[in-house]
Amino acid sequence: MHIPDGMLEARTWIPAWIGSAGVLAYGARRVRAMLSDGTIVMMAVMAALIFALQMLNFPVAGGTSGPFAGGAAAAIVLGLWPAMLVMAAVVAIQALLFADGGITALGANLFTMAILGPLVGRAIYVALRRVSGSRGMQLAASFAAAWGACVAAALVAAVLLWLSGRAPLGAVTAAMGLWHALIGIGEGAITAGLVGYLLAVRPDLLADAERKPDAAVARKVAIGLAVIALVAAGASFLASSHPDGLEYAYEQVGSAFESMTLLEGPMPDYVIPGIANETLAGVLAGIVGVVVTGVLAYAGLTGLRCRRAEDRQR
Amino acid sequence: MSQQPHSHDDPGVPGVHREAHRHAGQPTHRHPHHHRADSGPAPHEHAHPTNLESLTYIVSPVHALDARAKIVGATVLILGVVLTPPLRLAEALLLAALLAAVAASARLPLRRLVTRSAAVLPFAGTIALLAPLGTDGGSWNIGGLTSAWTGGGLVVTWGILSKAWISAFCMLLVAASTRRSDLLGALRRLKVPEVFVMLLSFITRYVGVLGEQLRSLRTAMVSRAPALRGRALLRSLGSIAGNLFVRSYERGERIHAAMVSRGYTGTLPMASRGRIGPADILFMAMAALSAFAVALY
Repeated sequence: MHIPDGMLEARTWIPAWIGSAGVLAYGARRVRAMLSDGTIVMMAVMAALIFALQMLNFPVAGGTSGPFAGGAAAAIVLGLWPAMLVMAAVVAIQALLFADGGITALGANLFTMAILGPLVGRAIYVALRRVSGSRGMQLAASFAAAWGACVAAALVAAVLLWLSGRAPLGAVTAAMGLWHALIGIGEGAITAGLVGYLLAVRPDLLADAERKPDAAVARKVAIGLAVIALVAAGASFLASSHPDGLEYAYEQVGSAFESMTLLEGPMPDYVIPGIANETLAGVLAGIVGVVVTGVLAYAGLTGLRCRRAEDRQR
Repeated sequence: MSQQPHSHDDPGVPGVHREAHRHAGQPTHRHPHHHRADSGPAPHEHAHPTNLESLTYIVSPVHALDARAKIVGATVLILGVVLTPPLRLAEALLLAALLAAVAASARLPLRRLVTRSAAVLPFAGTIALLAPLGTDGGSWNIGGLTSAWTGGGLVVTWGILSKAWISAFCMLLVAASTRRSDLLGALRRLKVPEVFVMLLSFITRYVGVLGEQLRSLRTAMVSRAPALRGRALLRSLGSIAGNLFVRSYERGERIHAAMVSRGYTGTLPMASRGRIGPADILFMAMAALSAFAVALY
């Protein structure tokens, strides 16, 4: 899911860079204000840990394997803001030292993996924990949080690619969403295992993290993300009504290849059913829109509720 | 230095050479290796060419450049590549020649960098195969085998793959030719927030330690339960993750205590030696000119 350079248009990666940098700078300030030097050292070791845990490949159906991402796990055990910074450091190191994810695409990668992943994971976890405090619920909440974070990040990455005009919405969300729904199972199982282990060995660490007062902040961030998404979407629609230089070039160069046929087959008009079908693509777009909006609204509502609970405690 | 498996392939890689030497506790043997630039005459202090970081110890003109110049140069070049329409053949050849020249003067093993940067291709390829659907009249009929690939689609696919690969190669060149500490110091001097640089520096310092610990945990698991699969395997992996978390947490406490006892007050001292010299300016100018050439042509 690390988007490389050259796959996003300037109209997508520049807003993503600005948005991510803003959120993370704010997060860094919060962390600085909230935590002592000691906890910051701790966070730094945790960043190294998440990076090391990403070497944990788990088997996915069909003999392939998926890497552990860890955004939701970090949010559960560290709290929202520290988790965002930790994940941001991990994603940035991957881009800088391992060319895993691009430099221009770094803003988008930070947005999906370092901001959205922890945010969605934390929101789901906090909401489900509110329902019941049992051990089983805690494990189920961890699983759901990791799965939700994984799928939400993938869907938003797909939407970013679509905004860049790289692929039709239906095809790219279907491809990314289905694949990560599968990977999310492994991610969720490992996260639940991690939380289960902590419950058995060091329940105090987990309890510390649950007391972190960051749920109210989740709401602000959710609103911010919604605004960014709206601006990005608006900008892309504006841009799409004026075909830009890139599209023009595609057309020009493309015409040279127009008449090329690799192999004339018996079914020249055959198109893989569904993917190129506009109606279905529209329906899929609608579903994705509902899911993304739902996640944001849900995160916002959770934030509101937690804040009220906090106010009541005072 | 002696734990890694010794690789005996790649005899002709530039910057790597074979000679008989000894690791602590092991017999004399030979395998390809780099000498550390800063190790002085001690012949047995060397890094193995098995990972990217060992390449940063090669001595070359490119390695000697200021890290800031390399970061800025690579970023500008990548911007040029990203902002241009799909690369034409001449542009792609120019970039390939330029990057190969930099890799050669850095005495880096070209083949390994090329294969390593090709790691972006699976993901880029997936999207690149979806891309033709989005272009005018695009359709993707069983890989284009049963009827025409639409022209626009083919160009989009080429554009995505070539840009992703070239950009990844650029970043890999920087990562392979810059010491970790210099790179982090450069980020600090490029005004990246301090908390963030500290997180990055801890990752580079401790990922080896924690990765080694993770490997021994997995070895322990495999030697006790070699046939684990499915849910049982996932549960064990979860326990490993939890175990490593607790260990790292406790390690973090020890690290912090050690840092405080050595006078840590909240800021990490960073090497900030080096000034931007004529060579660095030349390097950045070269990158900028290439970027402009590619973007404007």
